[in-house]
Amino acid sequence: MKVALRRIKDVLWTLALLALVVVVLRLTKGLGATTALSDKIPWGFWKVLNMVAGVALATGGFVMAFAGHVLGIRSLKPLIRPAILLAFLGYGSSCFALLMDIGLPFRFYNPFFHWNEHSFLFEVFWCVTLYFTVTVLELAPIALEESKLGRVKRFLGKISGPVVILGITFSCLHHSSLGSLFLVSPTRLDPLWYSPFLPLHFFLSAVGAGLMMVILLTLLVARLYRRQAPVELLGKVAAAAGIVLSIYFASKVLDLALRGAAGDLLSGRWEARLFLVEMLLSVILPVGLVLVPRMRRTSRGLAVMGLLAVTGLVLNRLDVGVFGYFRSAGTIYVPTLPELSLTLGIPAAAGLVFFFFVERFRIFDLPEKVEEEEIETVPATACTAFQSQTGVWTGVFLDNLERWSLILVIVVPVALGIFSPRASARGPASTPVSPPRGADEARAKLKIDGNRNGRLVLFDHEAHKKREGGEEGCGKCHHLDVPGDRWTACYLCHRDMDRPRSIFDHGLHEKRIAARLGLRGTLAENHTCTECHPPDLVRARENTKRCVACHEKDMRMPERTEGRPDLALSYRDALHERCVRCHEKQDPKAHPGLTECAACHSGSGSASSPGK
Amino acid sequence: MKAILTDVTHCVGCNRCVEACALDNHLVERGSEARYSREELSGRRYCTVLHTPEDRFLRRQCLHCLEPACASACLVGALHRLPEGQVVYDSDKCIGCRYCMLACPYQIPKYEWDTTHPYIRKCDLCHDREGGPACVEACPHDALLYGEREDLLREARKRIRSNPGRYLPRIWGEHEGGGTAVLFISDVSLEEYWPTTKLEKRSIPDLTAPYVVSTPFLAVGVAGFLTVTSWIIHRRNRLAAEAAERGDEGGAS
Repeated sequence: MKVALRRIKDVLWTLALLALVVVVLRLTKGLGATTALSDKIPWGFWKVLNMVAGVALATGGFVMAFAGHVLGIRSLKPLIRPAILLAFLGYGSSCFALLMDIGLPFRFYNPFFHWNEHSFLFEVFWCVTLYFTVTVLELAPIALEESKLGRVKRFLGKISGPVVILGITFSCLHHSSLGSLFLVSPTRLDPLWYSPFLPLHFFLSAVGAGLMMVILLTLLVARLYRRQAPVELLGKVAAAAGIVLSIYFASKVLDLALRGAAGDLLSGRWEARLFLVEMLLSVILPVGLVLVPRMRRTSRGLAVMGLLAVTGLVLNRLDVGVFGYFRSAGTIYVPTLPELSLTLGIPAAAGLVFFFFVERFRIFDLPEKVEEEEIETVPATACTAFQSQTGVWTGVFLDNLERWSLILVIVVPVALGIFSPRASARGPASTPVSPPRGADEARAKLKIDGNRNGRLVLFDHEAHKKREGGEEGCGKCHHLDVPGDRWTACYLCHRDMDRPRSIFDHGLHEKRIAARLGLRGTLAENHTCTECHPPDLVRARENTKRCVACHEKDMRMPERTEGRPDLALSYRDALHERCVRCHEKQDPKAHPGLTECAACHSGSGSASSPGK
Repeated sequence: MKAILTDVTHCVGCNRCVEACALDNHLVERGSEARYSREELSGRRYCTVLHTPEDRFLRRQCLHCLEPACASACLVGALHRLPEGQVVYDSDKCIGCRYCMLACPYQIPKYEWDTTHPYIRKCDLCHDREGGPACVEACPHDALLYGEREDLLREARKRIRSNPGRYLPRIWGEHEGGGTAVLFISDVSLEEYWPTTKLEKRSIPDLTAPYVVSTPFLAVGVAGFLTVTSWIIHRRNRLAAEAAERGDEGGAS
């Protein structure tokens, strides 16, 4: 186990050193450069996972203080000191995470001087700082146990009663207030999680999972330092946690039923699935395991239910604080590597401090009974046994030089590789642009709605181009100095539509109509003419059957023009649909002018040329 | 109480208000293309014009709630409401917790993510500018009116009454989320942009106030309960121990 402990410490050191790099980066470059936070998702892992969930997992401290000191349950004594240490570390790391997360860390003291009693965060801030002080005061007697500061120790002993009661009070307040934090988002937080009972949910789940965390830590220490875990006692704690979690579950179910959100669970939304997974991890599975007496009696069973409950709690806090906001924000948030690194690094550093305390002070004083059983393998006092493991701490730096170099070899390249500042400005992605329709020789004949009356006519772009003087002549129709609505319609040039046009093949029409109607004989005999030219009326354009009467389908502008290479858009639609839509999709900063209506429709007469 | 009435049917989306706002608040340099960019609100843009799917132009800016959620959330009171109704920001108090950004139902407060020492940024209704907000002054189509909220509500009702075909019979911002100083009248529904509609005229501080008020009572209650419980149990334990001692003595003698 000595090797396992050493390896664990190496990993923790690596994570903590990486986090240290992130701290430097965050303080010098700012939040935007190191995190994936945005205006849409302003709260991320540091605040929600490290602070909110971290504090929740440290509830063991006040619950054990309540059970041990207020209710006077003697049998819990061996767990009180670990729980106090856990509370100290949990709150310490939460405070540090919060310090890193706020935008102006050097102003962390402002809430002491500027008060807004209406803010839940104000309450959380005060309770967390005060409770952190309480944990320091509770931990101090343990740390000073072997020192000679008699007066300080006597003072600490004297105030311990009120300190414990204050600590429990602060805890009750801020654990529910952490839930109240999210009460401000009735319109933004997903209805599965938003509830008027959020404070109650947060309090109950924190107490349940906090007890599980104490169990996990005790098991971990027992395993790493080859101690006999007080399984029977832990089983009782697990049962208590199970009861609290069951009440939590009942309140959740009741809450969903009361709000009528229960039906939403089966909607198949990803939030609903996440909610079910969360309930499974945080309550259903752990409580199910607690109910099995055999699981409560083995270290493995306890470890499994503890891990499930703790994971479930972290997931719950992330759901309420981060994931539940995705839908209303219309975007998601994926933490950056530096962000994740600090998220892991803070608990890693807390873990190192934990080992330091465990090895230096009498934290885990296992029950006499257990030690008697284990007397052959374990030395009588816990303290000395722990101290033999303190390689890293007692200054044997040079002895472990190769380990340190290994850690550095890992940390430095990883830090350089993943923490290089985010590329600040990405240029627009290049998109292949197809040539304008009609300029393409292969598709020279287009149908255009040239008069903007919803009727299509065949249009030979190439012929027009040649007639109007090639490239020089584009401006005759496509004049960029005229605002969009004043395009050159066909009729502006073609005012003589009654004259035969090459585009209309009269002979072909005669033959086709005759064939369709089954008329035979010469033109004069078969009366094909009357199909289009009414016999009793003057032969004029107005009296002639209109093309659209037969070519209804061909000449109506279809709803969708995509995938129809024979259709051309009008000049206006081309500008609106093609240029503007495409540029809106691409980085609008590249050519801001093009996407703006006011760029052309400025109202002052002439359209300003689109910006580059 | 100062307010802005926005007539959506008048707005043609020319973005002059955006330009005026950016220039007046020194967010861009003169002659830049700020006016043409269709950006969302950000740390450098306090108002913007959305092009809605119904082909209307909808101005986005701080609505200056009568009971602002951001101000109730701000733990140092950096965001607060002036007597004249403007919700303003005192950057000297801010610690950068971004709770206001989480609290605002309209997602208005924005952050200067690109700086090392960022601040919250949002419209302050030009509260220290002579002649009212720059955006209202710049509007060429009379889509924006600035004045007392009561007068503007009267004006809005008059417009809706005299032209029922043109407007929906509703003033957005009159009651939503407890009411806002920036009001909208429109011919298409703006429901989507007013998530506070579902709060049924209550403001977010209204929702949270009962919890805040109950906190001191909870604190006193918990502390009292703990003290009493602790005293009773310790006394009982002491008595039991004494009794046991006496019992032992009795047995011994």
